[in-house]
Amino acid sequence: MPNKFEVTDPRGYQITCPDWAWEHIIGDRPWMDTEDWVQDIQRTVEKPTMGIYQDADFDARIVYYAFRLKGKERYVKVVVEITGEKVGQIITAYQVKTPKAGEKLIWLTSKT
Amino acid sequence: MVNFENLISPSDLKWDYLAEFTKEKRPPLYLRYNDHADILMILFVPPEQETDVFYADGNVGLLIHSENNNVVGFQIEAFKHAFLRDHTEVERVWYLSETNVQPEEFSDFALRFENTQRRVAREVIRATEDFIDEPAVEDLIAALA
Repeated sequence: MPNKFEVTDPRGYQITCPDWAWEHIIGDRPWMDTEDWVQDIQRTVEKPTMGIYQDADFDARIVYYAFRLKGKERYVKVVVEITGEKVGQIITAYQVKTPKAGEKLIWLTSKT
Repeated sequence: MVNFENLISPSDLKWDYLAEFTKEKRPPLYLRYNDHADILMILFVPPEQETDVFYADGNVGLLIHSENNNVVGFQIEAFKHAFLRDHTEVERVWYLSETNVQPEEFSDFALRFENTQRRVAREVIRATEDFIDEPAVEDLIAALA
């Protein structure tokens, strides 16, 4: 299955963004269909400056947060489904103004 | 438990857009369900409008205009997994919409589809009324009739 991109998180997890997931992301939010957003999502997984969290509802999902460096203050949130040992697929991504209640920190903020 | 801060507070949210929205006759509604993510989005602006998510409580997020913090929609996460379980009337309407038999006439189908979207949106709004500051929830529901 073709991928839009593949990146490695700070723990060594290989995270892919399948084409179908990218189509969902820009279908829900057409304004994210830019190279800037591709890079922001990649950067969030590679350097989750606000941490990696266990999803509030789905055991197999984890969530990456990073502060967005462009424009107004906001966080980029990337939701990933773990599909095997140290591998996962991006499910969706968007920008948020607040963290979500119920998500549990599983990896401390990247200092790299 | 999360260890970073809200970038805005509930008092920063603006509700003027929704107040104006309720004054229109059958205003446009954009409803999208992402089955992979299990997220339902209800938008009162075209999806091309840039929005941020402000989590109101649990799986209910308010979609706010990125420039002026006006509330322009809702994002319900874990929609089938958790939200429907807790809101039986939304669940009933949702599963009725999924099992709708497609009529032969496309125009009839499109009309039914739009009406079903509005019905789902009304029930979601009823279920999330605690998070709506203004306009009155009944006014918003009436606008979506």
